[in-house]
Amino acid sequence: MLGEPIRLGSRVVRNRIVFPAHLTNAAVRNCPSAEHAAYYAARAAGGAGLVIVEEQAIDRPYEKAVLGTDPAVVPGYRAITDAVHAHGALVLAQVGHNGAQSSSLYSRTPVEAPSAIPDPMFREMPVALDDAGIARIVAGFATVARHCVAGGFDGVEIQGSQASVVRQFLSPLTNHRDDRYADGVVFLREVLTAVRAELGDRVLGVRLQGDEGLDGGLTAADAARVATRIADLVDVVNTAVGVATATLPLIEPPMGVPAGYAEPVPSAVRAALVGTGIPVIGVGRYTTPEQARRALEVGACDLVGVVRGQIADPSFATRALAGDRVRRCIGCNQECIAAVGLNRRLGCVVNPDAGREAVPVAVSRSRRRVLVVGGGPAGLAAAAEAAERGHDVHLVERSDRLGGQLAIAAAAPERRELAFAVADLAHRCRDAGVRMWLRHVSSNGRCGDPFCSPAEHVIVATGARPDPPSGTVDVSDVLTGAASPSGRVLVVDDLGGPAAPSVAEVLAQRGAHVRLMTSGMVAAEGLGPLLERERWRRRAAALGIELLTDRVLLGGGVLHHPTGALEPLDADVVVHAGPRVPDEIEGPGTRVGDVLAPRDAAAAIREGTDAARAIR
Amino acid sequence: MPVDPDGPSRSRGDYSGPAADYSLTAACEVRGRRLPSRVLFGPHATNSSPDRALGPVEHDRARAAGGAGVIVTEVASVTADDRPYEYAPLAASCSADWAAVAAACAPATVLAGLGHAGSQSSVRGVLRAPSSVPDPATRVVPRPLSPAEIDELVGAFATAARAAVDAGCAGVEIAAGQYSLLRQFRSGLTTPTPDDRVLLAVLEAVRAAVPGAWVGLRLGVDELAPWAGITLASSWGTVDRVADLVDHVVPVRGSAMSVASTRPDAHTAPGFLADACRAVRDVVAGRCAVVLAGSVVDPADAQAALDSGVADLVEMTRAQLADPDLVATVRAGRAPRPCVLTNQRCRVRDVRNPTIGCTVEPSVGEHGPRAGNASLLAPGDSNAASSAPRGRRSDGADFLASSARSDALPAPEVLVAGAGPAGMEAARTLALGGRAVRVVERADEPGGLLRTIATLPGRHRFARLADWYVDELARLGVSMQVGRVVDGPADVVATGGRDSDRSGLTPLAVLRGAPLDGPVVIDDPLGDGTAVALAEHLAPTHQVTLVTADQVAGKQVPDLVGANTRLQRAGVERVLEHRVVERHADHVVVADVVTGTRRTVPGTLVDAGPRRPGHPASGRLIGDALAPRTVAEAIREGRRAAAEILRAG
Repeated sequence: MLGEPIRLGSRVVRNRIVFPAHLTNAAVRNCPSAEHAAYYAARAAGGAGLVIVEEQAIDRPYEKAVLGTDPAVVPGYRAITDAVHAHGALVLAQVGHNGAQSSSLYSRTPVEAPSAIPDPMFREMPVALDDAGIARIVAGFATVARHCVAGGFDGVEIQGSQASVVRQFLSPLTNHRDDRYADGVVFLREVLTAVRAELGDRVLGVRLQGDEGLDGGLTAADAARVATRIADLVDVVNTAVGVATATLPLIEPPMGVPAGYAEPVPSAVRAALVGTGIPVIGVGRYTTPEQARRALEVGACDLVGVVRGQIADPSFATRALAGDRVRRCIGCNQECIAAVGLNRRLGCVVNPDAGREAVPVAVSRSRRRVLVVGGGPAGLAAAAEAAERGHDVHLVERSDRLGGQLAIAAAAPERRELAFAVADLAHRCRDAGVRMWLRHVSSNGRCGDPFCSPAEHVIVATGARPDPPSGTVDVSDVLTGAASPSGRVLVVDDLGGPAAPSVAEVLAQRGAHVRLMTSGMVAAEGLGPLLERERWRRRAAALGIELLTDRVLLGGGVLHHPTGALEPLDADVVVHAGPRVPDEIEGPGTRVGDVLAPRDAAAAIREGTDAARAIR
Repeated sequence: MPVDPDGPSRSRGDYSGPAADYSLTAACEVRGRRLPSRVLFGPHATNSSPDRALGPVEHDRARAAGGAGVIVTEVASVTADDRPYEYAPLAASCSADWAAVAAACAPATVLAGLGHAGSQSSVRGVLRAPSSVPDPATRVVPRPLSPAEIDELVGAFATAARAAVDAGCAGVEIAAGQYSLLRQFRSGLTTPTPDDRVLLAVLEAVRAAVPGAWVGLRLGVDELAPWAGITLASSWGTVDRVADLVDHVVPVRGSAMSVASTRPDAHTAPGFLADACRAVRDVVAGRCAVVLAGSVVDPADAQAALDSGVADLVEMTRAQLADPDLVATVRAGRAPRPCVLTNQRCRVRDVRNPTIGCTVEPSVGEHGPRAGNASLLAPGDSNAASSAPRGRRSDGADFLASSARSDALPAPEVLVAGAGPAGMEAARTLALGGRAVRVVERADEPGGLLRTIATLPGRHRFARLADWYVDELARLGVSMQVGRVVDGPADVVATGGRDSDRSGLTPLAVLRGAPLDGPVVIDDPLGDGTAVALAEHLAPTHQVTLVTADQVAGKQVPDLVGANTRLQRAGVERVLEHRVVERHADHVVVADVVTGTRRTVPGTLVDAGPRRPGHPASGRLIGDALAPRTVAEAIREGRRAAAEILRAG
């Protein structure tokens, strides 16, 4: 089913796999960049049927938005569409206006919205649009559509869901008007009509909100009702759940949320559109071909949107259709959602090329004997990449398992998919013929095999080891089972990432009375950008984990540093999550990952890959 | 940390305008260089160049034209591996811009800011630092620099200095204060072996690379962390050693653990570095010039520092953001537009990369490719010695001159409704453009919300802003009618916003004296600083609880750490990650935003939520009348509305 072509208005998509719109922060001076073209082309080359390029904005919502009303965007559009078309995919551009989900930070002009109701995140009082303002925004949609046509897009998708003035018109939470626009569909129809006039027979789609996740907000039934009222104007309906500035974890849920969680929305819309011939796109953490296939089989949708799965593996579609294994998205959200949320370029933990597709990779013409020391993510990535590039690669790992810290972290609740990254790297190593030596250490550039000749190139990926303060237990020892603290446990978080919250949860599940303490202002702060914090907080509350902030260990007690108050330690065991120290070895070699400086898996995999590519 | 040094200033009596004969603003000779004044415009992040160069030259040119003596450009990283913030300049990309600034700013002395942020950086690769101690903000573990890498770093400072001088800069200022690897080498907070060898090596190398050029130094002398950090006492040796190597030293304070303390907001008394600066000046004993930094925003304070031997020069960076013509205005015997020390728009080290702005001066950051709109007009005539209101600038204010040309047929009087910041800014700009202006204000005195806000902690300088506007309008001959409402249409409607229709007292009602007994619960859905300031204001007399859905109080406040620390020290209970779900006469019910768990909080409710737009009157609506926001938007829209009227003629 995934491979079956389908008609969208005047065009035919070659298969059912869509690369839906999402922010990349790849714009340069608010115009599309060469990175954009390479990024989208890679997914088209990888077999996606339909690519929907990120929002082309009418307003100025975030710093690196592409401002689609500026005619300067057209050459960049052309570069994107030529690159995508070269691989046989259709390409639409999403067009949007963010209304109150914006600030005046970049525009230095007032924010505008259907009603004078501030957005929960931006909190800037908007000016309620008058008729002239509405006409200006409708004309803005048409202008962007005109640029999209000039730039060679097969059509556009109107953003009416996550961050959108359209959604604000449709939702009773944000539309308190008493004029004819009290019915938000009136506005949407004006937009669609104006855009259709620019598009001719090109594809016009709309992305509808089906669950705002807010009391009194839009539901799947609303999306279905809206869809039927615009069916005469559109060729395809895409769906979404969650509001970007209020209920973001609904849009891009972390690894604890199962695939298909959003299926009620496309299902309802599809049921409402029966007989119209308008296909419906479903989304919702479909990260494997099986999940995508199942969504079609149960009739939830006609096309399946796979964002993170295709960020992780640009060849997802080709591999899915061929029944091959894909490199799996692990739902960690670290380099995609979190990075973009922090105004950085989109990347991917498991795919170090995501977001830098335009950077050329030199072809290797030599075959070198390469020794990789260490089987964590950095070493595995280095070994896999080197072997795939034709080198003769041996990997030695001191312990009896691969994956290093990543494998250890996967033992925590709702972190299981971290192990997918290890497994997929190990698969690549095996497929490429890397010889693995577990429970071995290197000596003088030789691997454990006494008959192995000395390596011409050594990559040192020995990682880092814990360095807990005396009298405390390191978090990794809890996850590996090396330590089993019980009773009253104080987990001290000097990292701010997922480690300490994970361990607090593990210990509480084992029956300990757990308090999680940080020197910072927010407990489990690092889970926020990963969109895991709400889920974790709910579980932590159920387990009775207490959260302490603004506190540090001092002597035998605890110091509340804002006030200087000293508090008793009140714990049988202190578990510590703190900076690790590089696990250096003697001898030459390129250092990658934590042994260079203890950081995260993304850095490890990127540096391992780059080191392998640097072998000449 | 001193809080509210002069307290709320309701009266005019605490402040007298500057005098025209200040030595601060007189031309002088310092270490053989002729300076137009003793006022320094210090290095600051502007986020205005995506190319990692410097921003538009107008930013510095305007301050030089306004009389600044020394201009230090935004700190440029000396090596490509350093990127303290996304648009931090890179020395290798700055030569053309250094040349442009140097050319545009004569006769001011232009120095190139040079630095390396070490562990206080934000690159995706590997951070380099003296040791592996992570920065407390990012918690990223850096890689310690090897001796060979330190040599390279020293060489990079020398190379960058050479490039800056070759480009036409008079010299450089080396960053060894906040955000600096050179400070990190000196601090026990960031290395187990603190000493000043790397700093000295850099200064010697730079000296050798640019013999005869001016070499300045921004030196951290107090990290406010006496248990391990740099202290005043530990700095004397360094000061003594660097005195022979540099032409000026700017003592500054703060570490990675206290970034807000370096350029603090109005909760810290201006001039907080005066004692340290005087002590540094005693140690250097004339071997180099000493610059007073640290929230010096009033010319009288700066002059007092010179008169009492605290310093040879005074850094007035934020004051010159607020009034680019500060020096010229003082020379003319008038008060410059006052900096309000909120840091709301000028502190731009933020992942969103806002371009620099200023709460009170809307032209800041309006130049160049990243500016969102057509340039706002420049601030006005304030350095013209004559009191005749006429345009004088060519950069964005042409219409002032052109409107003046039409004097033959006098333009009709412009009627402005409302004398808050929006209305008064509009009136002032119109008057400067040569128009007759009448302002009608409903209240008994002009100022709008400025005077009410000024009763809050850290906001007292808004009263000075109101006073300044009143003085300016009087000087410019604007007719001000108070205690009246406009009957009929006004040209500019700046009548402010309205209270919300939700139940509960408003912060404004409380500040205006509404009776409030017993415990108080402040519901803060905005986190914009109002609720935090009100909580601080009430804490001495009431048991105060602040409820917010956010993970911290005052989420949008520039100094988040400071705000939350002050609240906790004041005994304010912060109910974080909760929302008010029930409102009663003497208590509210709050619910955890994640788990939904409810509890009761006793107290009288104060609703710090959004206000409503003003009456939907016809006319040109600006400021809170259009949509209640901050003083910055009010002033910006006042300026813009006036510009539109002047353009229309």
